[in-house]
Amino acid sequence: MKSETLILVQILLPLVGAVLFFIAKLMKNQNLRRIVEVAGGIVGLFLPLVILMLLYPMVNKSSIRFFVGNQNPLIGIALHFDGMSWLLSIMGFISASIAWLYSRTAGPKSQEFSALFLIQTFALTATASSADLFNLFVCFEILGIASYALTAFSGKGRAYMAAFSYMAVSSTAMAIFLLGVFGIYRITGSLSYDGIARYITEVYSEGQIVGIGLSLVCIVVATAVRVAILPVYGWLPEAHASAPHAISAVLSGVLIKVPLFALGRFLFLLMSNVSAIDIIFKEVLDVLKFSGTLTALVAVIFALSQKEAKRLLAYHSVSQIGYVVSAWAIASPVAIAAAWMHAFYHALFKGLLFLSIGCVTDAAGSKDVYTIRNAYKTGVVPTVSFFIGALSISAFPPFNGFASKAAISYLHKGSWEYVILSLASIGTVASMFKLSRIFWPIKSKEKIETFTDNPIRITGFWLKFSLLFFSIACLMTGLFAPQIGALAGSLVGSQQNPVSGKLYTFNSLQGTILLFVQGIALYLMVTSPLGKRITHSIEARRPSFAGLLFAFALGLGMLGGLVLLRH
Amino acid sequence: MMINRILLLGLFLLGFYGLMVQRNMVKKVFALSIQNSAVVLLFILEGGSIGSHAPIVTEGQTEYVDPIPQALMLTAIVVGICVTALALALVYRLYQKYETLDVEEIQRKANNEE
Repeated sequence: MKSETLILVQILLPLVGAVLFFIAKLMKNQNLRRIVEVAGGIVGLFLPLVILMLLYPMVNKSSIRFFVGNQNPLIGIALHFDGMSWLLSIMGFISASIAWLYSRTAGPKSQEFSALFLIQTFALTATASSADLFNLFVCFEILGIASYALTAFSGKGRAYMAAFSYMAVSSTAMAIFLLGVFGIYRITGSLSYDGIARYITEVYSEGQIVGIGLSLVCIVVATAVRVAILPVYGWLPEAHASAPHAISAVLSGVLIKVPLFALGRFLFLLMSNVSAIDIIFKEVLDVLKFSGTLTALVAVIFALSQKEAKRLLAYHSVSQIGYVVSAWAIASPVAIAAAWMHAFYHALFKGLLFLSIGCVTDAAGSKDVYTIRNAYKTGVVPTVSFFIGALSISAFPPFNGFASKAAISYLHKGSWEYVILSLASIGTVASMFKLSRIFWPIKSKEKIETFTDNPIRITGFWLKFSLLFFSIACLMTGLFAPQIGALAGSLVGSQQNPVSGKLYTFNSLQGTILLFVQGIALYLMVTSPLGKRITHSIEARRPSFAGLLFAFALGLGMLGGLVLLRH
Repeated sequence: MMINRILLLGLFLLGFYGLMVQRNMVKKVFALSIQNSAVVLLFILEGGSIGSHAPIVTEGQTEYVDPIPQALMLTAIVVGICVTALALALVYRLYQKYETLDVEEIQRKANNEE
């Protein structure tokens, strides 16, 4: 089969799966319905993984560019499947398929949920290979609409409100994104990345440079809302905390990163053609690097202050995306490979944490980290899974987070970003220590003592399977980090492996021990009376609806103002 | 031409203001829609600046407007409708749950629900 056909099939299969789920909903015969549902899952989530394996040798040789249906370039949809598209798709499908299996036990089990889930996965993979700004806009919107609806699927009032806030700020951002697309089309007369890249080298007039710069700011800030970095991350904690667990895992694991890397495919292509606008690109990337690094620290302070388990994890997602953005914005191939590695590893360990904490809090009937205790009684699998996830996110060798955080730290060595990210790592260890208390075999000081009298064991084949899969994946991707680094490096065109060959040395082990000691010391400070007072006041803060939009306007105004002032 | 652009900017800002300040959720959905319409109108206005006829190519017809922005906006309008429909569905569910459309009251009740 031709590579173009394989790529299209891989993108469209999740949609076929979604249709199968809608057909299953119409069926009255229960056995037949179950068969169609299983077929929908296999076709929509697992078959594309097989196709991606077939595509690997092709994409490793060179990227594949084509127009859907061999249409005229003026009206056709341009697709460009390169190494980054492959990496994003594989990350999306692994995370989505395991999270979907989890939902087979933990719910929601309705056909509409699975169909929407597959539509979201379709949008993910389409975003990854889009090579046209308008097509990117449409993919972002499909991704958005599916995820707003999926967030609301838990049926709780706060989930509806979170979905509405997410939608309001995201739709406003998309209107601004469209303005940016318009600006670029008006100046360059093209919407495809290649067309824009060709034209951009010929732009010399000051007015056009500023025009493209401002359009770029619109596109970047609108995408930053989806990526959730400072100052526009306010919608995320509530949405990720109130969504069904399987959705939280995918939203945090994949959905916030794909827009970032999709934007990178556009920005870095334009930057590779030397033009008068390069200086604006560099300034915008510097601002993103600054913002990403700061996000890593600020979000972890918020995480440390939370009392609701899933909200704590949601703030961690914001913090970890800060790490990813800080590396991505360096914009060299090796930095992009390191950013992808951390994004992928985060998808695995955050998926594991959301799923394990999700089933434990469901069994406990509470989400409060201060009142749940003795959660080890729920079973070996959830307990071991949680600790593997916690050790991974805390960068404990040989789990995967250690390798990817080491790769990012190496990139920043000697700069102020290194110091900030190191501080954020200490916060991560402290907050994971705080979260792990729900498993400790001790009595809670609060009134409710969950799991002391009636231990509820967590059962269900697919639930345990998904937890075990993510756990093993966290370990294996940590052990084979140099090989995965080499694969990512070769696919994004880097000569250098982002992961050092000497990963597990005595020095790095010493560093880890020091990090853990600092983390525990910070935890003790946070649980002191003064620390508690401070964290309670931070925890009580909830971003208001107007605040979310104000933050977006502020981000847009500041970055736009910077471009106008400097040029 | 300039006055048109200023009016469209005003329309967009009106939508943004409504979304931010209005307490009634249904009005927020209207505001979202107004914002979207402002962007759609801008595309159509700018796309129409180079010609004067509808982009239906017939013999001897050269003065037609740029068809690309119009084609794009058809898609953007469809996306806008999907967003509005979903937003209204969410508002309806919130109303069923909390029996109010006031965003601050809903947020307060939702926070207490935790």
